[in-house]
Amino acid sequence: MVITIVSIGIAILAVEMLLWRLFWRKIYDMFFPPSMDTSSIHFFSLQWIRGIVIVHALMLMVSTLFPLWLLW
Amino acid sequence: MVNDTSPPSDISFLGKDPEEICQFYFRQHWIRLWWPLVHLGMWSIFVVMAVWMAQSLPANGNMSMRHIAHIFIAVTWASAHLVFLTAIYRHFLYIIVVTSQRIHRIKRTLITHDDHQTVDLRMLQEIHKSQHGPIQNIFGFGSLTFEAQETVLKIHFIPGIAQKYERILRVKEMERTRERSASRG
Repeated sequence: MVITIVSIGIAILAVEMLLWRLFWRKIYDMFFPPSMDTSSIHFFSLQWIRGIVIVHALMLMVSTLFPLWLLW
Repeated sequence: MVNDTSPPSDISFLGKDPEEICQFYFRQHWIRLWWPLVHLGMWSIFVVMAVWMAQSLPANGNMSMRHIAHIFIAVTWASAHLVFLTAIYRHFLYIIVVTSQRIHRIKRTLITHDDHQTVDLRMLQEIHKSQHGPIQNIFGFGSLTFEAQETVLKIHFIPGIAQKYERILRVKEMERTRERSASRG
């Protein structure tokens, strides 16, 4: 059980990191100040988005692994 | 996107001329994320129902089948959320930048696409604004079509399309006035 849960956790973390690296690679050369943003959703800074992605990864791991452990 | 206090003329990106001055930029309307969100909701409901069905099955000693079902449900749940995250990344990688001379449409995906199309404001012959249907009119988004000689640039899901249309016309007029006074001087 522990091996399964740890493996799934590592897989989720790896995919989240891979997606972030792919996103960073594509967006790092497009620097625009937020004051010129006229979008419907504002994208404040890369550091802010990185924080949200980290929170998303942690919440996804908890919401996936905790019920799996309970149901096992 | 990063906290940058540089004056607009110092902003650079691939494909921008040094004389261009960035006016504003935007991404597509948030409603583009609506269907990915609906898909996420549907997959979440599926996962909840699958967990309920798996728990209601009698435990006749075949625990390995139960464990496989639980692993499958967990992987489905995680995959649905990661696919939604990918949709959000793709939303943020589609940017339209309006400068004093051009409109740049930069469309990238995580792996497969990296497109950059521009249209020169000075060569623009026609700009078509279109909003079709109640949804577009209620949420204030629509499409703009820019025609310049042999180039046609279509941009869909533009948020606040009425304001964007006016701003682009104003930028075009300002640039034309500037060029006229530069040629006289």
